[in-house]
Amino acid sequence: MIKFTIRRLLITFPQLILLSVLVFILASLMPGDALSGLIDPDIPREQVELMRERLGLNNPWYIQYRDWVWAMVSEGDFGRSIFHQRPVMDLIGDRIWNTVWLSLMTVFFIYAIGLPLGLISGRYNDTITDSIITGYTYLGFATPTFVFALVLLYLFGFVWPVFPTSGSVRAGIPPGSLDYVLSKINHLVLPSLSVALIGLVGTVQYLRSGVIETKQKDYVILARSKGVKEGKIYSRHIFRNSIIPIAAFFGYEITGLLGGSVIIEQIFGYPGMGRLFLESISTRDYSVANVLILFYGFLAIVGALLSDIILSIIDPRIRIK
Amino acid sequence: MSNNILEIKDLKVHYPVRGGFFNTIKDYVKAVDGVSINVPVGTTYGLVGESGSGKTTTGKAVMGLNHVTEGTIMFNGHELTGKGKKVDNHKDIQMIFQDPYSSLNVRKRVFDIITEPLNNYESLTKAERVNRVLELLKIVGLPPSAIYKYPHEFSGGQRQRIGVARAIALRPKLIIADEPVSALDVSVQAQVLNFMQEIQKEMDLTMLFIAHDLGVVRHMCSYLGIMYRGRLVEEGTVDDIFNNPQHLYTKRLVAAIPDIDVDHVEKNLVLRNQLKEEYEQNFADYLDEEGRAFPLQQISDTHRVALPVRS
Amino acid sequence: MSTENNNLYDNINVGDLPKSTPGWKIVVQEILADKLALFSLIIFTLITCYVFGLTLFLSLRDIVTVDLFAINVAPNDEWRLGTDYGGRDIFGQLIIGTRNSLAIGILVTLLSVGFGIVYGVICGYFGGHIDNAMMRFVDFMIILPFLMIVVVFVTIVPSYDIFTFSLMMAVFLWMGTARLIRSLALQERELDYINASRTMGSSHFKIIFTQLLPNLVGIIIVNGTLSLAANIGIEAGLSFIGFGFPEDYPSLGTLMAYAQNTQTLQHRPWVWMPAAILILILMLCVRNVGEALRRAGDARQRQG
Repeated sequence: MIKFTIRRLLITFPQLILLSVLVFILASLMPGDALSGLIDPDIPREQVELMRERLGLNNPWYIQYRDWVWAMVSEGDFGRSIFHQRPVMDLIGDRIWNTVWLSLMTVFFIYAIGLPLGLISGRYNDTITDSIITGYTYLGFATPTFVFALVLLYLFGFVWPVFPTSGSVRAGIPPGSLDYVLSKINHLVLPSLSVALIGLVGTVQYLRSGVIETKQKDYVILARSKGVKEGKIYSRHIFRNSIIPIAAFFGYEITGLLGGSVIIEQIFGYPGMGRLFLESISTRDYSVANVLILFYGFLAIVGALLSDIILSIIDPRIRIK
Repeated sequence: MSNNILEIKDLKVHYPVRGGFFNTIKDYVKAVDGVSINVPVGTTYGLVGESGSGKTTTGKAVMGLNHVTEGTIMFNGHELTGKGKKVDNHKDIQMIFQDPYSSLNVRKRVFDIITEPLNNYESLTKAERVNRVLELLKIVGLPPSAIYKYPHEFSGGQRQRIGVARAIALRPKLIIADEPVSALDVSVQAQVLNFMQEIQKEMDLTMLFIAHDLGVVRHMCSYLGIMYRGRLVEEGTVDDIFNNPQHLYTKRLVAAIPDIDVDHVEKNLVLRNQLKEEYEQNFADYLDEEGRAFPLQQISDTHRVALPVRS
Repeated sequence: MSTENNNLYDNINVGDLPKSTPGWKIVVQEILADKLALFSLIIFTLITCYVFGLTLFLSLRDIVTVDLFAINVAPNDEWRLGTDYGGRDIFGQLIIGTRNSLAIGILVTLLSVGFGIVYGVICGYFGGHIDNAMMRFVDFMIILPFLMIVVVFVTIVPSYDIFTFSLMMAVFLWMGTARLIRSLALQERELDYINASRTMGSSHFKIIFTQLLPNLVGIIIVNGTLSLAANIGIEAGLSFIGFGFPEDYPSLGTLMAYAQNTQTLQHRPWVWMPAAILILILMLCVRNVGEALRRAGDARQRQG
C-alpha cells in the first residue's frame, strides 16, 4: 500500500515539472512582460533596459525558468498582478473560498440527489419510475451545463425571481452573522444546483447499472433465500457493493468541479477563481491567469492521485499493476 | 544428420519478473530452458507436455513470435535467431494455431484470410488469386461457396481447415501445428488429423506437431519429445517412447492413455495406480535441486532420456 | 474426389459466389431497428441539410451588418426571429451559426478521434515500453485544465479560422479516444489472428490498419458520434464566454453569449432561446444515434 502510494507520487513529479514548463512557455508567448504594465511611458528607454536587466528578463530562458520556479518553491512568490497591483496569491486568497464553497455545495447536491435516484431506478428497474429517471439521465447527458444554467437563471432569477442572479452575498450584511451565512447559501443554490442536476447523471447511471448487476449475484440470492428483509438486502449488500466505483471517482469529481467552475461563475456573476481567470484574461493580466492554470493543473494531479489511492484501497488489482 | 530441416540448439526463452520499488528485474520465468530438437526433413516431430511446459513457446520462438533469450534455431542451414538473422522465414515456415476462433479475423472473408500471405509474397492478379484460393479450398475439403463467407459461418473443424489452407498457401517447407485439434470436438479431431496427414504426404511437408495428448501424436508423428517445465525429459521415436519409456514422467503419461480394449481395464488401472504412487514418492529424484529435469543422456541411437545423474 | 465434385471447383464465375452483408449495412440496419435513433437521425439530417442548403443563399455580410433602425426587434413578419442589439437578423445568424457550429464540431471530432485512434492503437499494439512512455504523456494531458488552456491559446494566437480553431480544441480532446482504443487494442493483440498475420509476413503497419482496426470500427463509430455531441457543446461553451468566434462570425455559442447581458436574458429571450433549443436538439439527436449504436454493439457482443 505504502509502496504503491510512493511510486504513484513519484509519477506526479514529472507531471508537475511538465506542467510548470508548459505554463512558463505560455507565459513567454503572451504579449508583454512583467514590466510593460508597471512602467510609466515617460521613463527613458535606457532606464527600462536597466530594470529589465535587473529583473533578469534578459537572461536565457532556462535561467529565467529556474528563477521563476525557485521563487515559487522557496519564497511562495507567484508574481504580482499588474492590473490589481497586488501579489497574485492575495487575489486568489480572496476568491478561493467562494469556489470551494460552490464546489462543496455542488458535490452535496450531486450525491444527495444522485444516489437516491440511482438506487431507486436500479432497484425498480424497468418500471415507470425507472423510465423517467433514465429519460432524465438521457437528457442530462445531452445538455451542456451552461445552457441549463442559463435556463435556470432565466426561470428562477428573472421570470420567477426566487434566487439572486449574481454575486456571492448580499451587500451590507456584517460577516459572521447568521444572515450572512444564509445569504451566502442563498447565492449558492442556483449555480450549484445547475451544475449538480447535469453532473449527477453519470452517478445515477453508474449506480443504476451497479445495482442491477449486483442484485443478480449469488450472495444476494442467498441472502434473500435465507429470508433477509428486502430493505436490509439493499442497505447491507447491494448498496455497499455498487457504491465502490462512485467512491473511487470522488477525487476526480471534486477537481473536475473546481476546474469546471469557469463558465458557471461567469453566468452567475459569482466571484470565484474561474471568474478571476476570465477577468484576468480580458484585462491582459496574464500573470494571474498563468498561476491559475498552474493551480488548476496541480489540483487535477492531486485529484487523480487521490482517486488512484482510493481505488487501490478498494481494489487490490490496481496495486499490483 | 545433415538432413535436418530444423535444428534447435539449447533454446532458452526467459521472461523477466519485475517487482520491488523501482520495478527492477527480480527473477525470470524460464518458459523454455535449454531445449535442443532436430527435425529431419519430411517427418513429423511431436512435442508433448502439459500446460505451461513451454511447448507452444518453443513453437512460437521458431516463428519469431517470441524473443529468444539464448540458443540458436537453424532452418535449412540458415540461422533464424540472433543478430545475423535477416532471412525471412515466413514464406517457408507457417503455423497452424490452436484456437480456430481467435486465429481467424472475424471481419475478413475467407478469401481475404487465405490471400493475405499470397499478397505479401507473390504478386498475382485477382483471377489468379481466386483460382489459387479455390484450389486451396479443394485441398482442405471446403466447398467453393466458402470463398466469400465470413469465419463465423463455419464450424470449429471447418475453421481449422481454413487455417490450414492459409498455412499451406505459400507451399511452406515446415509447418508448426500448435495443438491444432485440441479445441475441436473429439468426433471432428480425427477428420482434421487425417486430412492433415494427407496434405503432409502430398506436399512433402515437415511438421512440428505440438500437443498435450499422446494418443493424438502417436497417430501423427514419427519422433517425439516430452517436455516438462521448459525442458525435455525424454526424446525418441514413437516406438521408443511408447514401448520403452524410461523417465517416470513419460511412463505415467503413457499409462494415462485410455485403452479401448475392455479386457485390459483392470490391468491398466492397477498399473496406473502403481505409477501414481511411485510418482508421488520418487518424482523429486528425477529433478535437480531447482525442480528442473536433468540433461538428456543418449541411451540408444534415437532415444535420449533425462535420467538423474548418479554421483 | 469424384470428377463431378471437381467440376464444382472449375468454371466458377466469381460474380456468382455468394456475398456477405458488409459492415456499413449492419450499421444502417441497427439504426433502422431503433425508432428513437431513426427519428433522431432524420431530424439531424434535416437540420443539417436545411442549414447547409440555406447558407448558400444567405449573405453573411447582410446578416452581420449593424442596422440601427431595427434594434432589438421582437419576432414579427419581417424578422422571423427578431433582431439583436445591433439590429442583426437572429434567424440568419441562427442558420449560419448552426452551420459553423456543426462544421467545427465535426472537424474537431475528426481531428481528435483520428489522432486518438492512431495514438491509442500504437500504444495498445506495441505495448511494453512504448505504451508506458506514451501513456504517461496522456496522463499528463488529461490533468490540464482544458477550458483555461484553450482560452489562453485563443488569446495568444493572433488570428484563426475554423480549421485552426478546431485544431486548438482537438489538441486537448484526443486523450479519451486514445485510452479507449489502447485498452481495446491491448486485448485484441492477444488474439491469434494478429500472430497469424505476423507469421504470414505482414508488416506491423499493415496488421494495424488492415487487421486490427477493422475490428474496432464499431466502437470507433460510437465513440465518434458521442464525441461529436460533446464537441458541439464545448464549442458553444467557448464561444459563450467569448473565446470562440467573434459576433460577426456567428455560431450557436455567440448567440447564447448575448444572454450574458442581463437585459437580453430577461427581456429578449428570442435572441438566445432558439440557439439554446437548437444546441439541445442537435446534441440529443447525435447522442441518441450514438447510444443506439452502442447498445446494438453491446448486444452483438453478448451474442458472441
